[in-house]
Amino acid sequence: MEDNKADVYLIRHAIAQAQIDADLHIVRDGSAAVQFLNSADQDPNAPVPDLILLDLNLPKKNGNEFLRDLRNVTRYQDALVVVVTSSDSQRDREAAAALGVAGYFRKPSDFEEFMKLGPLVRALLGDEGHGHA
Amino acid sequence: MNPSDARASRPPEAAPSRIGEDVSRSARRFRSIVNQSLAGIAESDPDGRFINVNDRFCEITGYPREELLEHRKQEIIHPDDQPRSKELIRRCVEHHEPFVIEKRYVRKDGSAVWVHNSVSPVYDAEGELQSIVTVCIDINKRKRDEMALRESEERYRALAEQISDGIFIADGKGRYVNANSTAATMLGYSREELLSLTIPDVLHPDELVRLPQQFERLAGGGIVQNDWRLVRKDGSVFIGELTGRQLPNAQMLSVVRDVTERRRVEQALRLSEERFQFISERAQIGYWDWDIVANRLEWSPLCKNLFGIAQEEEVTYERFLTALHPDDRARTDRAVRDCLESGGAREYDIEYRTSRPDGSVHWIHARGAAVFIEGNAVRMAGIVLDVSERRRTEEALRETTARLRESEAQFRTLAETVPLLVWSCAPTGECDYLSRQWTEYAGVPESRLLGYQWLDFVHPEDRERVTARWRESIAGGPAFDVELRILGNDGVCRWFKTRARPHLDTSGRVMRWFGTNTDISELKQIEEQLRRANGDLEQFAYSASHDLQEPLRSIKIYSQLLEMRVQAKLDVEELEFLSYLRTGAMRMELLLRDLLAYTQTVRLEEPGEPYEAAEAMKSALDGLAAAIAQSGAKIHVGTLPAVRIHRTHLQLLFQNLVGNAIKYRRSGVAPEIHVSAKRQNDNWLFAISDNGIGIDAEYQEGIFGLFKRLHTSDEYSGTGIGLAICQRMVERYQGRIWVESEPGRGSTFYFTLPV
Repeated sequence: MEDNKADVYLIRHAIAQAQIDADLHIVRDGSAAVQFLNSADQDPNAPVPDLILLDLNLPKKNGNEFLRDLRNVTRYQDALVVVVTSSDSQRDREAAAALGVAGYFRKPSDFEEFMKLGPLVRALLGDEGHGHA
Repeated sequence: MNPSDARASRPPEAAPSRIGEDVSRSARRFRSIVNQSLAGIAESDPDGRFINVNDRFCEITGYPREELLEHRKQEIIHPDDQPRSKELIRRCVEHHEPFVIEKRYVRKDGSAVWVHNSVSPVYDAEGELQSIVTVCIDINKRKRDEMALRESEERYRALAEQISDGIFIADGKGRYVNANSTAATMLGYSREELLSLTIPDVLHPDELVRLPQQFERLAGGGIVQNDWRLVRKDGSVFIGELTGRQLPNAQMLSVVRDVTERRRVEQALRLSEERFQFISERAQIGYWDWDIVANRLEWSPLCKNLFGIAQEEEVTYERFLTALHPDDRARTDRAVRDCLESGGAREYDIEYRTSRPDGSVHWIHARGAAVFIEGNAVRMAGIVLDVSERRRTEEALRETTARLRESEAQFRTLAETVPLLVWSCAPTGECDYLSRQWTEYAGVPESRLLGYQWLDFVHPEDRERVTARWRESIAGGPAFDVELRILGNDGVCRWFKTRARPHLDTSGRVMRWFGTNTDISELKQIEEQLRRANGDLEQFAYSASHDLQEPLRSIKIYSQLLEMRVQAKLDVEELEFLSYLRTGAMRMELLLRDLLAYTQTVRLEEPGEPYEAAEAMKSALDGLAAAIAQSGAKIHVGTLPAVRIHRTHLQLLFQNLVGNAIKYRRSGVAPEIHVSAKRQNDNWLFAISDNGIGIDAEYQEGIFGLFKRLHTSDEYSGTGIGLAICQRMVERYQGRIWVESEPGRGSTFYFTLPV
């Protein structure tokens, strides 16, 4: 979930570069994310994401609120979440940790650094390197 | 009896034998002698009939001769003396012996006359009694004197017996030879017993030593008058007042009076008198006694002293008045007369001044009362007491009170003038005064605020806190200094800063609390605005540093990406543009990072526990590892203390200062940096010194300003925020930061933190 197109490109690039075979669904704001969750909830055939990359500074509904909602949906209770954010604040890190996230990736301002998101995701998904995100 | 009379009365032994030849001549001559004799001479026959009498005998008996010759001698003898006379005559005749007798004749006029008769019998040659010759001397006068003397003696004796004093007569050896019955009774002896004793026998043994001296005095004709302790027969002792003198016959007469009781009373009186004297002198009370009838004024010594009158001086009422202060004379005189004329209704009670000769003025309190007989004052007595000290104390008290009142008035004026709510409290905490401003602000009278009633006007949320703090302060805790809201008469609660200070007496005890309430509602509003503005600013800085970093990051990454993709197609100038783009974004990023750090300095709470500075230093050096490695800096860290400052703050502080020391190094000289700390009074003084480029004196203060830079970013990169952050953090902990530097040699940054 990412509202910034520039970052969406970089995330795609990092995942592609890490050779992860995944269906990548992008939602651009908090309410859209909730909608996505709801529809997935109602449709048993809808895919359950293996991993959610979550930007905290989302329009309409911020990342923390979304995380709370997410944990209230039974199907997603165990979904892996990696927070991807430009915030380096202690407060945000602690809030995220409290809601049970698998990783915290601070968006760097260096291209090469950004590409390190790929190996991180890959490590979380396991060796197969494919799934829904 | 006169010895010459006795010789004369003795008749010549040979007389009867010589009566013969010359009898008639002899008889004539004899007659003539007899008639001229001063003694009465009578011759009587053995029957007692007078034969011859001379003129003197007639004179003594008061009878004419003729009448006498018709009488017998026995007939004119006083009946009481007759038996004795008759017996003597009988013996005389029988033994042929002359005799003498004192007896009375009864004269012709019936009166008795005492006579001394020498009686001689006259015998004839045959030894027959012829006649009896009587030589009679009139001793009536002597007898009368004797009787008068005896009578007087008897009266005297009776008197001596009657008087209550003991009368003792002792001889030169101290043996009692006479004493009256009182003397005996006094000593418990009978008279006879007493007369067998000597003076030492009745004296107390202790008195014996002074006896010889007393005898000597008596012998010298002196009179002794003193007390002696005498011992009664039963052993009991009493005090006798003795008056002794020597009698012409060298006997000693002493009159003794038992004064035991009197001495006891006198002693008691003296004791009582002494006690009274003692008390009056100790209490410094003088007393006076005025016998108005005799106009005699008696003053005690102290009384005279109080008036400055010499002890020997006689005092009169007039003298008393002149000893007074001129202004008090008339008043005192009136008070005395008022008492005397009151008939007992009013006592004399006055305070006046005495005017002593030495010029000193004393206040005297005099009290007294008069004694009245049939409404007339006969006596007046009383006491005087020097009350100058009390008057002075009263005066001083009056002055102090006046001054106090004045000072109180000044305080009130001040309290009612200043633009504050002024109040005061008793040491126990109850409010006892509130200024006009207070009552006007609250809109109620003072009586509605006194004690603890003012609490009603304190905002309910503040009451408990204020009361607790107030109790703490009056119990000796910290000074009262609180902020609270007070309800005004317009229904609006305003903030006041309330302070109270105790007013202490010389021994440090709280006498009163004085307090002021300063209206700080405006200040509070400004504070609130400031706080809000600060919050906004902080929020702004926070948002800015986060939100502004997002686009910056994109600019950086995509310019990087762009450079990677199109590098080959661009010429040198285009590539330089691209690098400007990237460095601009980088600088912007640094600025934002430091700005964030700056805003964070105020947000962190102060830690409760001290924190080891060495640990913060270690973290700081970790963060600077790249710069240290690149510059080849040598960093020496001394022993650092534990300080009460947030870890992040201290780390940031070290990071900035050590970072600067590395950054502003001289080209070609490896940085040599020393970090140390030492105790300085209540502070730790930290020092970070380097061997870098140094700072010109004119900039040494300015460098702590926000965005203050001394170099272009081409020379030394930097945002101009680092030292501002340092100063802000140090000052937040009541510390100080400064730099000492020598350009070209190095700088030392100092900062202090409280212990």
